[in-house]
Amino acid sequence: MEKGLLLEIKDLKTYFYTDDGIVKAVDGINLKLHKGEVLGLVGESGCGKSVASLSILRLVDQPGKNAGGEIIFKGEDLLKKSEEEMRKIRGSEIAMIFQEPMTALNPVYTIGNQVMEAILIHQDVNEEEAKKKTVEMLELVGIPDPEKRFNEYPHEMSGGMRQRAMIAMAMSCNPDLLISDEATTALDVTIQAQILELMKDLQKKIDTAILFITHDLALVAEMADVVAVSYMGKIVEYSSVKDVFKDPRHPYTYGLLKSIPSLISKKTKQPLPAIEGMIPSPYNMPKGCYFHPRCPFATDECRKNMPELKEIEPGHLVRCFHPIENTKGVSK
Amino acid sequence: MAKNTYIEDGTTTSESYGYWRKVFQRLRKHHLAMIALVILGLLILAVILAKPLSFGNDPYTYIKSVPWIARPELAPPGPGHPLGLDNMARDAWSRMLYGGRVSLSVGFVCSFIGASVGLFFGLIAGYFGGIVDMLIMRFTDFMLSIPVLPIMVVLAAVIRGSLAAIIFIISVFSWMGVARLVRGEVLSLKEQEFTEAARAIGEGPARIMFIHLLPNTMAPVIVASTLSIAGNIIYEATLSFLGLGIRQPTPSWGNMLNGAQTFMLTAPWLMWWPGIAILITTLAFNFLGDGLRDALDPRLYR
Repeated sequence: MEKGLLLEIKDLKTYFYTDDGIVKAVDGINLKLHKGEVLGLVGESGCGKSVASLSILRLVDQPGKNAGGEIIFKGEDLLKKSEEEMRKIRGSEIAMIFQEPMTALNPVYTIGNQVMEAILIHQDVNEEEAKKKTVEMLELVGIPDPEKRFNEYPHEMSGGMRQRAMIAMAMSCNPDLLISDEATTALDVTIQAQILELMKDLQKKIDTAILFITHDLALVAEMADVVAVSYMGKIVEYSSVKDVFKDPRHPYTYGLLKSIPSLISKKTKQPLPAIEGMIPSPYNMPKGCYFHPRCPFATDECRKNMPELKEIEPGHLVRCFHPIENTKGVSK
Repeated sequence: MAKNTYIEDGTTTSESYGYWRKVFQRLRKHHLAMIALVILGLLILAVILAKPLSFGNDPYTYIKSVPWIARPELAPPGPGHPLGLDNMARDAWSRMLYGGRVSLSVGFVCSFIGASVGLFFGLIAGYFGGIVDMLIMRFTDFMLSIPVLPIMVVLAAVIRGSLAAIIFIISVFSWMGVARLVRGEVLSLKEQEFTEAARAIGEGPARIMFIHLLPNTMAPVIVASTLSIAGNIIYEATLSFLGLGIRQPTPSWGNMLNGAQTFMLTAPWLMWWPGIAILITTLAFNFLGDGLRDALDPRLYR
């Protein structure tokens, strides 16, 4: 085992067996996450980012099912654990922050009660100590006047405050891995910046690894050490954040980066470049490389075979037969 | 950060109202429901204080004679006996009060049992889904498709009415509505992120169902069971009226009607009062249920 390796996902497959056919939401992804590292998982809506994160916690509901692979967390395969053992891991060793702070808290309980619940489940403390710890956590995530906020209901708080409470809940047991599933998408930009700052802060303090799932490339550039770009349930490019932004090799990543509007671009009269076409229907995936119908560089080979994820430079993996050369300078 | 600064939404929350307080404020605007609440409060107080309110009469004692008429049986109202005496010369007013105890408690207890059973089945069916859901809901449909009254009459005839038996018989047929209601609520609640969040911090199914989902379904359940109290009082009255419910000498509004129907022409006052009592009580519960339905509007949560 590599030193400091916390999570290794090997060829993970999560399929949904619906009446209309099999949807391969996660189709053989490989990820590695080291202690204290931030891994950004990027992709457009419906490409299986959330399902991948839920698969790690084994929270995928029917008709979704694991169809193979391994999730090695601290040297043990999570897919082989019993539901009972998983329950002990959820919340204490792997925690999760959700997209919608508005609905991720139970409306009938106070904020304090809900944060306290996570502590009471996983730590051997009595109610009084748990309450003390909860107030500390609320203070740590920057909720003003935590003693009073402890007794407030979710509807009495703003979205940003609720997301802070969710983070307090997730971090209360010092997890080794925090999964942030579009945690800032529902918040406005200022609050988003505050929450990101908070997550970075806590990551340093508690030394948690973060799996940062988002569709927002700017956030990834800001937060992540390593980036995995996913397209239709497969990783298409995997590299350090610097390489992905400075030197994208997969046409999809290249397209994504080119379609970010820029405030300082000189060619303001030109329309914003976009990736041609639409994401394919999950019931009817194209043959060969999933990206070939939208790819400007597609050849016959692409139409026939699915390329492997190959290391084309040290630490830079690309799933493409014809990785783009010399893309340096595509983004600032 | 400085203490007592309220950022972002700018509201101070020191005077925040509790949920139930808001509900009551809403209910107060609903005049019929408030009148119903007052009437029900008085009724409940009256049946609790049945003994001191009975003017020293006892519902089980046969009165030997009254001064204003020769025979005490079916005596019309007079001093000390405001509603007269029944066909066995017992004080009708005190029987009304004690009978109210039976009728109201049957209503409350049956609704409580029905709501509890319904909640349990509804939660399990909604949460687990699949085959469990299918079995429970088809059983619910089956129970709903039975013509209730004939079956109740048969059951009551077989079990023969102690109070517990009547409560059991009525409860068996009063959980289906709540079960359906709760299942529907749970189906929508379990898709919300807080259920997923609860699972993600390592909570098990039992905890999620009873700690997280159950309180969220309470509003419609409270409305449904308030309305069902009225129905259950009528069922008790019906069974007792048919002679299959609460048995003499224990009074209930239903069996007082049963006793009075033979003397409908000679002593009509004997059937007015239990009849009116049933009418007012069921109407009041219906109005209160309507008011609660508005006051507990789930949009209040947000």
